[in-house]
Amino acid sequence: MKKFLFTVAIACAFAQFSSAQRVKGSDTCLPLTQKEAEAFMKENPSAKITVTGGGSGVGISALLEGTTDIAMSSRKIKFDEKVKLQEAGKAPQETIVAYDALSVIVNPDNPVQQLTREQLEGIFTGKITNWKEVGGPDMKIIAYSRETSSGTYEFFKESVLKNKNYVNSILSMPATGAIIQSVGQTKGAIGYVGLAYLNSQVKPLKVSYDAGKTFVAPSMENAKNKTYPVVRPLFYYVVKSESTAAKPFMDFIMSDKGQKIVQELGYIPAK
Amino acid sequence: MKKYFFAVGLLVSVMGYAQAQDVNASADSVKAEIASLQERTEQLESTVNKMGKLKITGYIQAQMEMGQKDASLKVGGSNENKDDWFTRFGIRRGRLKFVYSNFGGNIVFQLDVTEKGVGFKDAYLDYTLPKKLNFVTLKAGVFDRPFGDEIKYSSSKREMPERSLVFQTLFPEERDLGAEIKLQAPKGHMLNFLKLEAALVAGNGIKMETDNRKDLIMHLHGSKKYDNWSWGLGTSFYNGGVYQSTDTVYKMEGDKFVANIAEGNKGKNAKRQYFGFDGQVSFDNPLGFTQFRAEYVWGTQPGSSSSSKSPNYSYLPGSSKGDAAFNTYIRPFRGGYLTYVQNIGKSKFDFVGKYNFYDPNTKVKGDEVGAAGSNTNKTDLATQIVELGLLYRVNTNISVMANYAFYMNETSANVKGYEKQRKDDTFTLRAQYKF
Repeated sequence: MKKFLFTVAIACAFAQFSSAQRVKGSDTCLPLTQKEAEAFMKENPSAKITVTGGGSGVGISALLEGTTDIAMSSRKIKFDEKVKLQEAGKAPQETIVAYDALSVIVNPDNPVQQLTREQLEGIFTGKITNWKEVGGPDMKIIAYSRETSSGTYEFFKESVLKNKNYVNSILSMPATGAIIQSVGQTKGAIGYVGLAYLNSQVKPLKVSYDAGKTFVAPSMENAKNKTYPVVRPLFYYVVKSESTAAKPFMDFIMSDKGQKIVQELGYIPAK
Repeated sequence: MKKYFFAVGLLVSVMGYAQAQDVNASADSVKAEIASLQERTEQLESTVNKMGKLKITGYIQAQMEMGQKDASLKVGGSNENKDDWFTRFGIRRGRLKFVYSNFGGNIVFQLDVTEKGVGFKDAYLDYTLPKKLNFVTLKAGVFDRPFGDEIKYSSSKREMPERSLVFQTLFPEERDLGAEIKLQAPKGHMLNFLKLEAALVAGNGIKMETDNRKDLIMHLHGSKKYDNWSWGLGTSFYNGGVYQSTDTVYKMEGDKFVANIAEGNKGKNAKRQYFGFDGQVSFDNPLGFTQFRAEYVWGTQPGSSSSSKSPNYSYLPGSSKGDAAFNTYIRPFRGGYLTYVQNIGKSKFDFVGKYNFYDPNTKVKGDEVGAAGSNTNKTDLATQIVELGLLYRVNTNISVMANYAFYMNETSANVKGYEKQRKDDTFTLRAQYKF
């Protein structure tokens, strides 16, 4: 009997340990993962999931160091990061959990409604410095960006700036919330955030990827019907050989219930 | 009744006052606690920030090495049983590296702790210039020579036990004493993929400098990384000299060494000049990571009759009597390697294959070596090595490597002991812990 109880106790302790998971990385994925974790823990009271941000690069580094079980990333894992993981005997396993439309935002008092990709490139690379150059008032442009460790920073650079460098004077913000706050408080400001972060403090702009022929507003509908051009996948990375522990949570996110949460929060479902 | 109400009222107000006093006192106490915690956190942050500037890393490679009867092993003593295989245990490398970083600069010390004793490997400082000059990094001290790729490729990362024979010969200990400038555009710049390193060094390995001569080393390297693959290409140049410690200098003329004996030869420098190309490509694929790395080096190497190794000594060689052992032999050489590393199905195992060769004297081959009057001997024979290995990356810290090296020496009927293939293959089983 004693042996049986001891075995059960060990099994319970192990089950408790195995269901405790750490998720770290992209700030873009943060609200989604938090909500998914809450729902998952409600269904599985013994499960414990801790979710922290820091940026996609931080999440993948944590996966390498073994300080997270799941790395959230708003960009694809880099070649260098894959090499480092391989050198540590870890093969990454990638899952697209959702898509995110990236919205260009300005202060609500700014009369500018739309910009072409080329104009955005000019603004964020420092060639365009005044709103009057893009049909707005005579007002200095103050551009905000995320920090370099952010996947959003890299996606915007790749998709909108066509890999050109950001202007040196760009104001780097540590988190998406800080960009919303700064743009909301600064008349000449411009920045970019995930669709899920949009609120009344800022105004999203329509963008054109065909040199001004058509302008499309960032919305769930436009992202889903693929008319909005600035859409990127959101990834979860786990170490392949250690993926069993993360599987129940991953399965939950990819389930109908999990994907419903994706949509409710303003992201685009992965399936 | 009035008295009763008065008493109750008084009691309630006293209690209320006391409660308010308690609440105020507890709020003050919480505030004080928070302020104290804040102060302690700031102190801790300050300490952690200071500690964060010093990074300590290291690794230990413990190995068992087996060799055929003629083999030369990297650990332990020579073969006491000249007719059979022999086995040695040893610490091949026991490195401890300290890096202190602050204000754009680094100070680096690296020690090597093995059963043979404690020695130093690196001792240098580097500094990246600020603002618009941030593409310039200056370095001074004892550091890896900026020549090719394999010299700088850390032994803790390398998938096989040793560097190629050509680099072990040309650059013993890999490092040299001097100063270096590195030019590389900052991250994000379109020219960031290019890097130029140029160093002026003593040319004497990690030993102290013994003469006025300085050697120049340069390496220009370009590399790019894409989603699933990367490439690198580089070219290197070494221009220096080796002190001639006697009046006799041998140079190859046709297939023999011809002596140049002149009083002025002693004290001059024999030309030491190398050229090199290096290339690397790696790509991710369904089989797992695949890597190819290759280098080809050629040039002129001064040495002695018995060795083509570069100098690595703390004194000027030679003797007042002009001992023949110190005569200078200048050889045209070539060498190189091709490495193939294949991860097996995205598992923790890598298959490793490597071919490397070193021909210390390209002017003679086969039976020409050791021929009468040629002044050549076993030092002039080429060696080819084929290595096959398996690497098991247990986790971030631990790896285990098994490697078999087939040594193939050039044979000559005129060199005793080298008329046929020598029995000098080696097998290495190594465990590494890296932190």
